Parts: sequence; C-alpha cells; structure tokens
Amino acid sequence: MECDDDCRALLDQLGAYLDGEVGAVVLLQMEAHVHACHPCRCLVESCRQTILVYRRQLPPEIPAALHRKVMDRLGRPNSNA
Amino acid sequence: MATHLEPARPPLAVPEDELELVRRAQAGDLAAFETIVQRYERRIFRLAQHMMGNAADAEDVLQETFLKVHSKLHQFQHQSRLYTWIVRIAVNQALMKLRQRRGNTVSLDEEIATEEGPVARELADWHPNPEQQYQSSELASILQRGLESLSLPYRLVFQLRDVEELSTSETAEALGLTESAVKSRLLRARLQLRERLSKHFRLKGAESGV
Repeated sequence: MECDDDCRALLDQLGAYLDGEVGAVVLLQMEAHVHACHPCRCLVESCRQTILVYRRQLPPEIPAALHRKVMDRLGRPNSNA
Repeated sequence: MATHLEPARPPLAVPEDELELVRRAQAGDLAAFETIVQRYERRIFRLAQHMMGNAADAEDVLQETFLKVHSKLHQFQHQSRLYTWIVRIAVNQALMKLRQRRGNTVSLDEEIATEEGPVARELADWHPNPEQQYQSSELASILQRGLESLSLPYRLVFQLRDVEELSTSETAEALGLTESAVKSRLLRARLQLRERLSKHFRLKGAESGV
C-alpha cells in the first residue's frame, strides 16, 4: 500500500503521538488523519494495544524463599517467614 | 476519538513514606530496608527475568541487586526516584551476569540500525481486548515470546518505558542513553512487538497486508 504524506507524517511522529506528546495543532491534524485512514488507525490502535496488554500484566509472585534469602544475607532472619 | 495512549493506571508516584524509609534504612534500620525490598522486588524480579530469560538467573540478579542497594544506600541522595536508582543497579547486575555467561559481548550500545525500514501496515483491526482471547498462562507465554524476540537494547527500553512506566528521562538515566536514543529505540521496539503479536491478536477473518 502506498504511503501518502499524511501517513508518512503520522509514522514520523508515531512515538510522540502514542505518548500524547505532540502539540495541539499537530494532534488535531493527526487525529483527523487517523479517523479517515483505516490502515493508520489499525496501526495506531494495535501499537496502543501492544503497550497496554503488557502493562496490564501483573509482576510475578516472588518465590517465598527468595525474599528470605535476601534478608538472610543481610544478616537478619525474616520475620514474615 | 482519543487515540493516544491512555495509561492503564496513574503514573507511578513516589510513595509518601519513601523519604523517611530511606532515611531509616540509611541509619541501619533493616526493617525499613525490608519494606523497600518488599515494595520493589516483584518488579525487579520481572525485569531480571526478561533480561536473563530464566528464573534461576533472575533470582541471582534480584539478590545481588538488593545487596548492592543496601551497601550503596548511603550514597543515595534523592536526585532520582529510589525505584529508578534500584532499576539502574538491577540492569547493571543483569548485564554483568549476561557478560559472564556470553563472554564480554553484551552491550546496550550495540549498533542499531536507525534507518526506518518499511512499517508493516496491518490492515486488520485487533481484538479490542486481547486478554479475552486467551487463557492467562497462554497470553503470558505469547507476551514472553514476543519480548524475547526483541534484541536486548530494544527489550530493555520497552520494559522500562512501557511496562515499568519510567519516564523517558528516567529510562535514559537508568540505561545510560540519551533521551533521543530512548525514543528511537522505543518506537522500533513497539513496532516490532506489534508486528509479532498481530497474528495472535487480530480479529479472526480480518484481512491483513503490508
């Protein structure tokens, strides 16, 4: 698929756009383009989903003994054991 | 239509008690230090797992990180968030371990092509909530494989900026990079991850193309 100038402009500022770091005028232009251009809308939305799906994952539980090991090595038995 | 990133939760703030906790820990209060460990150990463990690729090495990195934090805490002067400072130590510990494992060939400064290649322009819409498509363990595996497919410099920037929600300047500080390098790597990491996840998350039956 050919990239027109508006698509190229969006790609050039995609990172700032995703992070809400573009100025108000540029933001309006980009929002209008994204609204009108299905490939760019898919690109933006899938990038956004990529970030959010990772961000929503909770950090893993720490193995119970691991916390104790850290505190033991600092010289004190762990009171939560 | 708001298409910029809406944070899933508020940006991480410095806990109100952190100043006092650090002061007490610096004075030798192990209970205060333990509270710091409990506050950040899960996130440091996740970071270490993503850097090392296995739990055993991640456990070693976590232990060495908090021992180092404890021994250096007297040098911490609140010029950055405590968490950013701990992350920087964890990254260095993990890099040291990776270098031991692979020889001295691991660097965050490795040359990265800066010329943008063609962006695969997925014509397909994604499922609005990818979490609903997969069991949690299957989703975790998909996401893990996606991250592991990135080279370490990209993976780290994505992890710190987009997962741990450090700011661009904090990420640059933690990794010893310029903010410009962080932004450039972050965009490429996001695009590469997006491309690799697309086969899992696009709506079934939707057309795709480049």
